[in-house]
Amino acid sequence: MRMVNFGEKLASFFIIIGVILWVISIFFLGGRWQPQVLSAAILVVAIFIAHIWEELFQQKK
Amino acid sequence: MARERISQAEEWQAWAQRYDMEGGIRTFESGLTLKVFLGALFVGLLMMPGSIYLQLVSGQTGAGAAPWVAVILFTELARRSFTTARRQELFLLLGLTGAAVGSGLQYRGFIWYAYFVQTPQAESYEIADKIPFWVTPSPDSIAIAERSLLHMDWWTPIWIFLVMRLLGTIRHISAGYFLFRLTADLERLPYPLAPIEAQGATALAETTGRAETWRWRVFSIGSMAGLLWGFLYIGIPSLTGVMMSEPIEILKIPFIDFTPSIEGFAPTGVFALSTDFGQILFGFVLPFPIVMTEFIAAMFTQFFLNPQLYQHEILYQWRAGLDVRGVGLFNGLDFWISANMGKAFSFAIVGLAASVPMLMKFRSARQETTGTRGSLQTPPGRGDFPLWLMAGLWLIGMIGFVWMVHWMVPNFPMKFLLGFAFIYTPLNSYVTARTFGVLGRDLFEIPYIHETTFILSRYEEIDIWFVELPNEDYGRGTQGWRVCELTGTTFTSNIAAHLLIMPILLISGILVWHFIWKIAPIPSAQYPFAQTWWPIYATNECLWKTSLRDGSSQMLQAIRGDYVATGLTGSLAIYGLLWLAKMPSMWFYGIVGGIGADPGMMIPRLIGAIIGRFYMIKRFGLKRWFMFNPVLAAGFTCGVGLIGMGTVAIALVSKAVIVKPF
Repeated sequence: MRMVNFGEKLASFFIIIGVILWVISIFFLGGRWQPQVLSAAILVVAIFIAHIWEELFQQKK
Repeated sequence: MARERISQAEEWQAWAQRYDMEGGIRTFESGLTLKVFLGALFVGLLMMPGSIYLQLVSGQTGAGAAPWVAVILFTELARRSFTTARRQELFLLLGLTGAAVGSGLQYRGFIWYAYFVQTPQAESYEIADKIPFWVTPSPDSIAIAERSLLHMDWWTPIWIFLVMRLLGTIRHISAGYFLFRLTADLERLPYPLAPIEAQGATALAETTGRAETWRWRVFSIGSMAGLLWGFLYIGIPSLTGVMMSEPIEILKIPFIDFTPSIEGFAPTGVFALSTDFGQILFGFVLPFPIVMTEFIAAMFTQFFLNPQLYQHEILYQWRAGLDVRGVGLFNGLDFWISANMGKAFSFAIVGLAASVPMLMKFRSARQETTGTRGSLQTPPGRGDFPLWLMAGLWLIGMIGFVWMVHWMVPNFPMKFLLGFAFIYTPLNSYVTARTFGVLGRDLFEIPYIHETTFILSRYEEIDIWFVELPNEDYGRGTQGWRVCELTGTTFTSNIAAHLLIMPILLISGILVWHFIWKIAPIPSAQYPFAQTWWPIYATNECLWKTSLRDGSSQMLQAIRGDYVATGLTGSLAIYGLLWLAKMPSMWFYGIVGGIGADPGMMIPRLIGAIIGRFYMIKRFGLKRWFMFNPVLAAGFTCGVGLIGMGTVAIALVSKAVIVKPF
């Protein structure tokens, strides 16, 4: 049960961090590609966690 | 109350079931019979010359309507012979006819380069003497002077073409099947436009049986609507164009441009209303959330985002008074070509993220029941193949292809060929397969990829422009496998039919081009379209092939890393936020597909989606409507195609008539 919630929370956390970093990179860092790619990498990790959690750990109703 | 999370698995499964005719219950039969084979031969030997000739005379091939004409002829023959035609047979006939009509045009390259090598343009751009021997014989060859494709000088170009074609068939069949198993069987993507093709064959097959069902009625309604619309939209302009200097257009084709009208409050925004209201029928078929979110995202882009980008001088080339083409070109060069590339990569990442966990469950997936997401079990009797066999065949086909290309251009760096073959092609194909599975269209395209490669490789010989590089896309072929499945045709019979007809078409194609070339030089007054356009094409080809001589290209300079990153990260952020908000993942494809697009082009499909969602479903019920609408759309396509073919034929006859001055 703990694992079930942990996966979703971890993915959500990474998504929020990735989106905030991307917004910062656009509005405060001049939209340079380096910080954008960093936030993209965080988002990719988040999306993979989200899908792995959905397929392998989410409790089926 | 918290929104309940619906996993992507449940979401796709539900949509796939909606688009699965007969609820996924079907038996599979072979569609390959002697009748079908003879019918296809008839088409190959009769329609192919017609389509080649039409292409040279009028620029149109009639390829859209030809398969329907063949199938209608076939069913009428069946009815008059008191026999029946099965939908599997008609499906194969549709496919074979399309292949026959299309295959004739593949040889155009031989005649084109035989002409190109002699043009003053090729001479003045210093290309003529650098065209490789495996493309065309030299300009002073007897084969060109006598206009003969059956001369020994053509031996090398023709055998290279045939080997390439054979390897290409192996690759396209194996890779297309492999991707189909991943996207349709494992992921259960719905393929919303596949039922249209499938239902056309099914409805026509029923006409030959004793009991006609609702399908034939609905198909007829669609055909009549298509005939009517085709006459208004295509027929009247084409026929009046034959008789008058200016054709009469009841609705302006292809769009009415409102871009200059919105520039006051939305500079750099585009809005061109598509007048192809036949798209309403496709709006009926496509998933409502995708059509809706796509439109909203496009409106947001053109009326809010683009003006903001203009204010911040990211879109900087725009000026007042431009039409949709001008604004679109400048917006693309300034920002959207790069951003769209980033968007396309996000589709690949999201697709991989959805697939990898399923592959992690691969062992258990093999035990899942057929037809559920995550299962690789195949329905009994479908005629499936082991995945390892298909992967192996693709590998053999691709290695052979790369070796051939290396033999043709031995000094071009091998790493680029290998990168195209084994990194870009699988990635590109997988993304396209997914976008076809969800949206019914392609979204992944990297512009000017060849030019970029040539610059990066520092290769300066002109021969590289004449070779076919191993960057391929098998994704759109996956829809064909889905249609095959929906019609209940065994995969083995589909492959066998195409392989059987291939040698006949290859030989007849060469013979037909030979005889058409013998009639008169191409281009010449006998072939007005070629006479008008081929010199312009020759100039364009010279410009492209010499565009990198000075090491610069405006198009390549338009691709900027910052904007590619914006497209990629923005799309991933949208996906992440939708996942957080527990919204359907279909919204992602709609929103990201719509960003940067012209909302005016989506209006007919939006009208269809709204009518379908808020009237038709209430009127007929969800299940019946989802059964009706692909049949209706198939009938409509058939009707429009028939009108197109009829008007081309009339235009052709009128051009063939020579008015004597006495």
